[in-house]
Amino acid sequence: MPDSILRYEDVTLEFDGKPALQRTNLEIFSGETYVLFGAAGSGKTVLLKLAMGLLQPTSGRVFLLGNDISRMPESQLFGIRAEAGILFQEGGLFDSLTIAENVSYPLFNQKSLRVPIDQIGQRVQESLDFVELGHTLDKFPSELSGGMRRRVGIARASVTNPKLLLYDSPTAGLDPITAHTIMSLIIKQRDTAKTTTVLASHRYQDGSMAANYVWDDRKKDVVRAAPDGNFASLRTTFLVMDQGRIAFRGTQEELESSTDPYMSQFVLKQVPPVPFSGIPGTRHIQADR
Amino acid sequence: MLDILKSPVLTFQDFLFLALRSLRNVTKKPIYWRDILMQMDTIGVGSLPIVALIGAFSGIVMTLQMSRALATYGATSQTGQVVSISIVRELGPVLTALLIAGRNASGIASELGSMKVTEQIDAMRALGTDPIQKLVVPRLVATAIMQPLLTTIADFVGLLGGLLIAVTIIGNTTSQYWNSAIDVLELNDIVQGLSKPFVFAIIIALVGCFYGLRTAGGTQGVGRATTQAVVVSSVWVFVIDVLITQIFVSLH
Repeated sequence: MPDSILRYEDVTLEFDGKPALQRTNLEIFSGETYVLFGAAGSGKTVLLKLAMGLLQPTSGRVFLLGNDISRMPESQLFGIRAEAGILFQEGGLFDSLTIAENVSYPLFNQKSLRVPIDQIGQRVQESLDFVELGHTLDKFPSELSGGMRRRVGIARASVTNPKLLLYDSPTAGLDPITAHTIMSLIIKQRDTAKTTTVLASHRYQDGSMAANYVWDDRKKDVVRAAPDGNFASLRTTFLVMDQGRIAFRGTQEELESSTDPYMSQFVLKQVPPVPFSGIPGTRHIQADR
Repeated sequence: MLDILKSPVLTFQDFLFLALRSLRNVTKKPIYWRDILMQMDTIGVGSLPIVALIGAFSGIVMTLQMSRALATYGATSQTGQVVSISIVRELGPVLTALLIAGRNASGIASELGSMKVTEQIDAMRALGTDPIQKLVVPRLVATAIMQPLLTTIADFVGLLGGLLIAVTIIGNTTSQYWNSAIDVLELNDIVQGLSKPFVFAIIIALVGCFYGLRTAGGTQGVGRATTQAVVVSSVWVFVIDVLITQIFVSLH
């Protein structure tokens, strides 16, 4: 049985008396992937922010890496947050800082990591090279495209080598090619660093890619882990949220066979497309530059 | 009835929590000196031209208005005295505070509000920084340092404006105006004239930060937060002004 890395115990969160999350129980295990679907306002973002201690539950408890963070003061949370990374829906890049400063921000500020100053530059370069944006160090976020900003967000979230990575709608508002690039990077990050991944998304293709594709370091590309028409067993759990509750949890196959009209809306019953090509240096990344 | 009061009381409670946390954090490490200096430049140096301009015009208008009343009693030689007391005790601190509220409370609220709606505040927390320490404290410290200085400059430029009218229109001599203006000022007036901008600065910076950090609802929310910050901080300037004036009147 893998270690529990994140646990929600009967968690309810209300804003002005209106529930955003209702009596939710969920356990996230180390090394696994979780795909979170749900309509806008169903509680996906709230669930991710609770995991980082950015919101405090009205009732119930949240455990991150064994620590109860539900009522923990901000000063104590910083050390625990250093073990997890999050890519925000809006990117959350600091627009007054350069890309290098954005990516180095957690290395300078998360004191519990104790990163030697002379190693920070190298770590930033490696992290930006990982997302194929090593040439943008001195640019500002406003000079980059939407897709590039998300990639910088991935670099910033992963530069600390976190045990858990949370992605809040990483492909929202992106064209299909850029969305595919982002998903390839998420899979690359998951498979090369063996990071536990929670992916909230509206797009069924994103979940399907996470569940069926793996990073092939030899080909420098994502490849299908099972023959066409079959589901790969990549330790991926699908969750569907509805009005602040987890209405479904199971495998991709179970989700696809669900007859519930709400669940069916998130399912696109077709084989995920073969990737255009891999990364790095591929034409879809080049197009995004 | 209670429901109507619930929202403003809760808002005030939230404001007090922010104010207490921010004031407590002023002496806490890390202290972001670079941010404090940058804010001092934006709030202080950036506001200097408009503060000086308004100071000069308030001195000029004040002297013009007073000259008629003083002439009725044949007391035009006391022009400096009247202008000095009005400007140092009241006009300088309040007008400067209103300018800072309009210029900087709005700037702070819109900047922090934009950061809030683009999840930069959440990102800051997720990446190991306390937004109170990084964003609120530098703005609070910078405003508290710069506003008394700006008020002193506004007072001085206001007195110069008064001098211009006193000499050219009323017929005072320069030494008559300055002697009258300086002699009348007591320690009470100076302390009052400097303590007011200090307290106003704390209110303005905290109100700007408070509305910025609680922004919700996208760009429309940023606009709303900015307006609220200016209106609320301006109202608080007048309320606090009455309280401080009453304290000094009682002490006198």
